[in-house]
Amino acid sequence: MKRDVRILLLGEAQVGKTSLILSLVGEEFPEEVPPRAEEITIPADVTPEKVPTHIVDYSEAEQTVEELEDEIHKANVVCVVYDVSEEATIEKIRTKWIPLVNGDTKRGPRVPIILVGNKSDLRPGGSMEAVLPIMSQFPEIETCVECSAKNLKNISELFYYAQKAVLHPTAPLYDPEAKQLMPECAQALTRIFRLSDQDMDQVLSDQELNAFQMSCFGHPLAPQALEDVKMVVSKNVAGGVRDDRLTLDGFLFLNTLFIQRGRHETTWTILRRFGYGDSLELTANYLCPPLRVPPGCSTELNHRGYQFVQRMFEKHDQDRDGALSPAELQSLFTVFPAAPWGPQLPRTVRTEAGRLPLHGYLCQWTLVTYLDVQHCLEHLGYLGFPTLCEQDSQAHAITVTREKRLDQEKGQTQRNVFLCKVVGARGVGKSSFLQAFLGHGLGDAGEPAGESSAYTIDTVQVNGQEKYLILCEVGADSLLTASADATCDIACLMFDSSHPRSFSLCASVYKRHYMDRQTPCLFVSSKADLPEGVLLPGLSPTEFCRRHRLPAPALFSCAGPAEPRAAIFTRLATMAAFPWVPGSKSLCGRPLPVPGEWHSCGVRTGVSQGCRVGLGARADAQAGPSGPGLTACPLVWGSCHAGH
Amino acid sequence: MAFLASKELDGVEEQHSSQVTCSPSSFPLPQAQTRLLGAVTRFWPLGLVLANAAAGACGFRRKLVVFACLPLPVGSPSSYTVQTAQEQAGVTSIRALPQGSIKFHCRKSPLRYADICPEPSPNSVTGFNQILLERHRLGHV
Repeated sequence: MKRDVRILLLGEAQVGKTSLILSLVGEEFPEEVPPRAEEITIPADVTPEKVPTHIVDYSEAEQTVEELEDEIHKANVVCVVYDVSEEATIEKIRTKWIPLVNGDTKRGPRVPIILVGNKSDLRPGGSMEAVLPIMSQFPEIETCVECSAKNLKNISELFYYAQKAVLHPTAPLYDPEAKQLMPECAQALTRIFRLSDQDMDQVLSDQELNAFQMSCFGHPLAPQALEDVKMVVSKNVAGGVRDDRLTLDGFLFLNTLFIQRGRHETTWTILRRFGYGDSLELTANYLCPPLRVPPGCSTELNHRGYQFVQRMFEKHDQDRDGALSPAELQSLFTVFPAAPWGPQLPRTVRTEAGRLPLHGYLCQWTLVTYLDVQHCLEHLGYLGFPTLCEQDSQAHAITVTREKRLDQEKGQTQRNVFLCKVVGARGVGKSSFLQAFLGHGLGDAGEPAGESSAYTIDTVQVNGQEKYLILCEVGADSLLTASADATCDIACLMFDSSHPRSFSLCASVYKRHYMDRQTPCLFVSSKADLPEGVLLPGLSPTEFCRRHRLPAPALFSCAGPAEPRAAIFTRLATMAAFPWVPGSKSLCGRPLPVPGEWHSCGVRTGVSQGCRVGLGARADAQAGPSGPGLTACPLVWGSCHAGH
Repeated sequence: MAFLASKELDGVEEQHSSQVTCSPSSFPLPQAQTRLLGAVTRFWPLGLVLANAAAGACGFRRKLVVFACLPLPVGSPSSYTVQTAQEQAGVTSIRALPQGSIKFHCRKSPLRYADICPEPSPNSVTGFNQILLERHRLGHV
């Protein structure tokens, strides 16, 4: 909605433009007036629509044609003033003033016009008869007011209708010549109808209609109004009411009727509550509400957000099978301008035979929220979160987490979503690793089609709590460029044990980005089922890790059963949730012992030379103390390896 | 549907206009005849038309003849007529009558509370409840 209204008064000389302005402001008729009034701004609180209103006078004698054109261009509404007692001034409306204001069709939408017949005290019979044909000829004329600056008659009215024409404009909503809603308006109302139809039965029940009225207008529907609405609709539209419920046709008719009755603000209130601006597009303010995410903080959906997206899932899961079929997903997307999730979806989250179960759906929301909170806010906006949840904005669905540095200082975190960057040379098996996270093995028959994705996300149990882990595949080369962003909660440095050269790349990435020990790192030796390659001169991976006080490289293979593979993801999530920083204090508060010795909390840290721990079959065997000690000192346990 | 909405509206307006058009002599001509008249009179000199109009036809027909011969803008081809939502004293508008006061009070009153406008009643009729304001016009009470 416009924040202020600029009203320009035009018309022949001596019709009383300046007198009208001065009698509005002074609340009495000015006996003497200057040739032109200064621009006047009326404060919001004294206007009926509560918007600041600028009133601009015009004088042919004092202003050039260029100045006039400029004023017309700036005006939101033009009042064409005539003298009811001078027919020549009426004729000039048609021949001069309206063509001047709206003659240039290239300028886009026509400026609304109010006809103002001044000096009604001189001709009580009025000029309506002469003016009505002009109103019919130019649909942009919304109102004709006969007034008298002398008697102070209808002065407020004229400015009130001018305000209305700007604040609740007709042109975007309704075509008065075709007597129907504009296509964009019908489209927006259709979307609003779909959002308000909570049970997807294509009709609004009394309850849905009442909830709609409440969320848009803040007042419930009067019982009589509910009956009248349905009665008027059923009387006028075949199929407007079905089983005592309002259909889309009925809903559109109702809006048409209100507009035809001059109650544009009803439809405008609905549209604006659902985020539409004057051009009937969702506004940037609505789609991108302010949300401050300081550096080092991440974004997650909060309980309100999850509750809402789950509600949307349940609404569109029409067959109640706990998963969205492609058609059901399509129906979820109908309120979006374009499908928000691309063809990568089946290779990003867990799906079941081409359908998206609730778990995968929530994972996808979590991923978008974490990686691109602006898109998440937009998507929540398309789904009508602020209106349906009666919140100011979608920002109320988001939690911005504490700065990571503070988490590290305190040794604990409230985060539920962690990002793991899987870094490695081309061909080491990063993509297979990401797909293994979703339970897809090499050459699995059940592997879904879809474009390859740089991300996968799933939940992992960390000390009895469910956490989301995002795996992001990153080429090692790209991290060695100048502008590389290596930030993450845990780095998974992957090399191929059959190609030892791939390790040196990982070591370079480690030295460049992760040596400061702010981010926990795990070296992973992929393709563990293949024979080891010839060692290069220099440090072996195991020795490298030992020197840098890192956990020994974990073995990983995509061949074989899925179950043992899962352990490495739990381990990554645990390391991310409880960042282990070698040399710092452990979570139990006591200083860390040197590698290879037992920590005082009962866990042995570090690794001996030559120890290679596969996370596969031996994952269970390596488990440290369970029970309370596990949560008290999980980091040390996370880095501890099978005893020798 | 939109047509129906306008029909609903037209029903009301026809009642208005039928009261205005009363004299049988000024009853509008059938459309074909009007067009023919327009075609014929367009090529007459104005004086002849006026003379003819003054003597022959009266009221509406006379107006038609004059209109046909003067090159006045004809308006949009869809024969659109403005549909007003209200006609109070001196105001013809497509907008509905305001529910509350619409006064601008630009001049501060010397009285202490005179410029404080009470908020509109929280129970004022909004949204689809406004159908209740239309009851008399929709004629279904």
